[in-house]
Amino acid sequence: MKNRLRELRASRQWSQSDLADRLDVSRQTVNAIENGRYDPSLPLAFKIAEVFGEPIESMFSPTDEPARKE
Amino acid sequence: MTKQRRSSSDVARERAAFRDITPGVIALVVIEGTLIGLDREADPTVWTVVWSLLPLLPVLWLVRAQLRSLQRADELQRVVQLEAMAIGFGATVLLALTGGLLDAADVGNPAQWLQITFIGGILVWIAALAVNMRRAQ
Repeated sequence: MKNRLRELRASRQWSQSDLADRLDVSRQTVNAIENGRYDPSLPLAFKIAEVFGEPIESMFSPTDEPARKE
Repeated sequence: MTKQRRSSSDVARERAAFRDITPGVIALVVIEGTLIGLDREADPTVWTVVWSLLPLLPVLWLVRAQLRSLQRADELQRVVQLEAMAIGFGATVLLALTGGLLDAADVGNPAQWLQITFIGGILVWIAALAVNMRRAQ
């Protein structure tokens, strides 16, 4: 699954640790999600969408389809 | 590349794990130390049995600490830890089976194999955890 986590985080000038603090997860988890090594659970995906104020479907997409941008 | 700071939840989890584990480790070392004085040639009494089983108390404490650590872990850390525990369990079963087969063939010392099984299982668990953590980063 692809995601726009890195791009959205960079646009807000947050470090991985800043985002991890907001999501109450480890920095390692944020890094793994950004690099596509780990797909978050649905509750965490919703929390990520909430933190960025974006609809969840704009944040995540299947690997063969690019993530939609608002 | 600069090293990023850990998230506040990382720090909180690590501190809580340290608080949980420390008393168990200290108690285990102290109790194991007292077992050195145990006369293994003497006929076992009730107190010998109680004394021998005493390390189970700090070990149970450490099991509790591990369970609490799993409960506190975030979802990726939980997956990583459970995978490592599964690999450690598999290694323990294999070592126990090996010891049983050797014992059936009247080779080796079952008491030694028990120690090898225990220590081997723990070491494989720790190694699997280190590899999984590294892969997840």
